[in-house]
Amino acid sequence: MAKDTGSPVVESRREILGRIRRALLAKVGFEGLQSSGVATPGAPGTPEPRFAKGGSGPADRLMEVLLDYKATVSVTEPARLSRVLAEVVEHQGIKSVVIPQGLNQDWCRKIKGVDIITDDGKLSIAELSTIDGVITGCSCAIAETGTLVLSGLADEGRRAITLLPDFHFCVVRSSAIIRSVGELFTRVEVSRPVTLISGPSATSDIELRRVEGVHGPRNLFVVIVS
Amino acid sequence: MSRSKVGFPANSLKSINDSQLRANLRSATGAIREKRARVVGEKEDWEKLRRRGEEIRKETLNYLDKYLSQLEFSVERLGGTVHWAGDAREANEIILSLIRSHGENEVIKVKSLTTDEIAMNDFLSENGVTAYETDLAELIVQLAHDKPSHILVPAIHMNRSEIKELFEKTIAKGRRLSDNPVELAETSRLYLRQKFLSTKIAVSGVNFAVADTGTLCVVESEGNGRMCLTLPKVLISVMGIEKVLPRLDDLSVFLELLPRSSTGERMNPYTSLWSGVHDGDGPEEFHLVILDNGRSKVLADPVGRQALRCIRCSACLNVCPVYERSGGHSYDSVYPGPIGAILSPQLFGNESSLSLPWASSLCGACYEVCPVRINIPQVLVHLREKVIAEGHKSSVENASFMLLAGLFKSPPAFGALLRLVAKARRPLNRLSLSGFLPGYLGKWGASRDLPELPSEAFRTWSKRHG
Repeated sequence: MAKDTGSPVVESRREILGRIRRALLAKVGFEGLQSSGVATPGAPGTPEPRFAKGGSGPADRLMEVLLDYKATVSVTEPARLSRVLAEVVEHQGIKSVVIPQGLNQDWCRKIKGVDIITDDGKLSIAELSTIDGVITGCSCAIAETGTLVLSGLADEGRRAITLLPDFHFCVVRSSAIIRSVGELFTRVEVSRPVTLISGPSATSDIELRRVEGVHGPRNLFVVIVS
Repeated sequence: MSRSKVGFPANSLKSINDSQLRANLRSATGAIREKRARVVGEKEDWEKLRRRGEEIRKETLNYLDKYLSQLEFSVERLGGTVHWAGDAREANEIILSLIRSHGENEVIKVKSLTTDEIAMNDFLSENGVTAYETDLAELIVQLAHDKPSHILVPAIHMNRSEIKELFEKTIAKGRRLSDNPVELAETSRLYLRQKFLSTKIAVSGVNFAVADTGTLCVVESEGNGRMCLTLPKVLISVMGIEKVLPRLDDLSVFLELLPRSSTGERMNPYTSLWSGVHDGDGPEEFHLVILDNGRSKVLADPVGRQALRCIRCSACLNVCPVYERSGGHSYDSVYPGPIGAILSPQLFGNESSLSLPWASSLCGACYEVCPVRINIPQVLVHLREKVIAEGHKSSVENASFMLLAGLFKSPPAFGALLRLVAKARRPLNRLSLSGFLPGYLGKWGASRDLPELPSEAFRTWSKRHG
């Protein structure tokens, strides 16, 4: 923005900040200027919150909450990942999937009968919207809220590829599972766009009843690799 | 003007007699109250989270100028452009000139209370630009030429069969739909898909803006937000000055507080974070419009200021007995319900909004659920005093309270009053049983019964019994 003095924009900026300063100087309560020392709950270093149900570990909790969101969850071990992924993808009766450039090619080697298109960043929005599915990794997953976190890493890709296709297959390494939202920003950087995904798209706009599947992918498949 | 002739009292008369509306509201707010209670109950540290939320918002407001300047710096460093708008007109003109500079006449929109507040859609339409709402409920309201009645669920006042009929007349013309919400949602998906793929400019609101990293946050459910934030070439986001948060870490507190308070979910389906312009991912141009529109005036009131802590979760609407019965339209403001009753009179100060501080029984349910602990009853009482002090008072009410104050101040006069009431007990009780109260009290008595007067005042009784 042009910073030439006297332009209306600069004028508005000065006026607004001036009004705020005057408002604060007139009656600034000391209350709030001091920290009352309440630690952020769930932040690293604070006591572990107990999960509501039983003493299950983060991976179990993640699965439980994801299922509650109507996502489909499989659990496997590294050696069997490509087999499980192939089964899940092939079972949907879809014709094509897009994968980010940095996705481990090994994960997809057993998928048969489905076109695998690597996103070179040049696929247009229109092209992406004709692709049925997408396979990605994720930066981390939050157990307590059933949240998959994408932050534009090489095996997650740009945002459009996980938005337009109707089937999202996401691989979660169990080492990437964190307990609660409080730990999120110790794991994830915001220098790239970040998307938190908690279940397939949904709406509660009609009589506050949840309906799964509106604009984002309507089908979410999570494979947890222990 | 008397407070009872305009504003809430007059508006709510209509809605309390609309039994369909009351049924829709009762069922919707009941359902969401239950969901919220369940997911809040799961968080053992909920009270700590609320206190932390309150503390962060207080700190933000106390140093608002500092954090806004920091936000501006961070966003511009990352390739975004920041615009400052003193009022609604300035904001609308900035947005219009950005759209025109790209030669466009259509924009897609993510649900945003702030753009509703500045009546952006109307302004753009008067200037030849069509704004398409993409949130399902906002779309319903827009198609019905209606107004939102709830912060989170703008079409809460309509049920599924009303929505089915609306769609059959508008976006699904000539087709027969069922009233199954799944089919209705699918209808909107098909209608909006093409708009998402072809529109060049999107306008969004902002849930949170992080000063130190320049990160903007939009929280949503349907994916329409992601579409608008990701696919168009140009993104224009509008935020009130109070939406800033100091640090990235603070955001995680609100990502816990907001969904649980708002939709009663552990987490909403989609949350998008972006910081400026990202190469090869999303819009090539990002504009942030920072809007004052009366907020700095609210900041100057040390009691009323806490209304600016609000994160627009709408938990207070869902628990409010007055909202549940009168509906959002009675508040005649973009901000209905308890939070609206303290925000609207401070932000807008129009005749109609000045009636809102009385639209409450002061039961305090709103304060109990507020994720940032806004003491809404305290602000309501404060605003009542303010409105009266500024001369919007009823002379009858004023005279009655002066008389009462005089009686309460003088023990002999008070004693005499009690003896008088005891003497006149029989006729007074008959009068209250008849349901008729004279004059000014008539309106009050129309929906209330006076308690039966005892034969003796407590003071007299206690004196006798030592």
